[in-house]
Amino acid sequence: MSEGEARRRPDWRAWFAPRGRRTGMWAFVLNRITGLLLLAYVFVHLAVLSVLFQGPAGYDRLVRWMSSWPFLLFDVALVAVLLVHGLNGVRLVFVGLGAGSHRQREWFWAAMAAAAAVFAYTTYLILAPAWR
Amino acid sequence: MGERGYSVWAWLLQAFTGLLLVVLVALHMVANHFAKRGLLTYRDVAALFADPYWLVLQLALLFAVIYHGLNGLRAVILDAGLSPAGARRLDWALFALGAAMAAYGVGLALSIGGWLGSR
Repeated sequence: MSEGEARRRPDWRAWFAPRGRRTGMWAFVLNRITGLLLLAYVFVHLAVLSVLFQGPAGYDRLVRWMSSWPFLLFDVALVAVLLVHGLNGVRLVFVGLGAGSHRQREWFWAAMAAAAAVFAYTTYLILAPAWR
Repeated sequence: MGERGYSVWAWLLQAFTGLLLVVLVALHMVANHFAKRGLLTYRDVAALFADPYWLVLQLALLFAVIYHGLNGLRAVILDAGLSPAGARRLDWALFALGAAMAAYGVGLALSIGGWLGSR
């Protein structure tokens, strides 16, 4: 992994400097950004569920709200971020342990292809009921 | 990855919880959000959390997410460079935040599942 480059320059702007970056570095940066997005979402997800303390009335209102188009599209985007982070993350574990690191670019695109396939199916599951 | 602050153990535990989360998040998404089009009523949520097996899986997911998410945040912040005292303060702050999230999540799960007395 070309992580050593970022180590010498701990400035966060270095993450986005396009020069001298290889697929492995982009994948590493991608995992950090998606990870931070998911952490922010976990806070929101847990906080929103506090409506459960209000009993059925609060939860039903939340479900009605969450079933609207803007939220369904948000869900689609959330699943995309989750799949990219999870599948690229599995690849990073293997690369970090030294397995398949000479083929890490190929494995990155394999992970993204798997993410795309699962994403297509879940997007159908999320949007099809609302389409009718 | 064995640089000052972020240890090999932190990385290994991050990798382990990450792999565990792939399984736990997949189960969570199917059971809570895709099966029967999701938990559409309060009763559905209560029934799921009343099941001891699902409760354990949900709590495992909660703990794994808290560790993995906050440890990931820690790695990002440490990369920017912190003094040893700053790193220690960061660890305490993240530990307190994680403990608060865990207490809240466990309380919510036990309450909705009817495990805290009057159902």
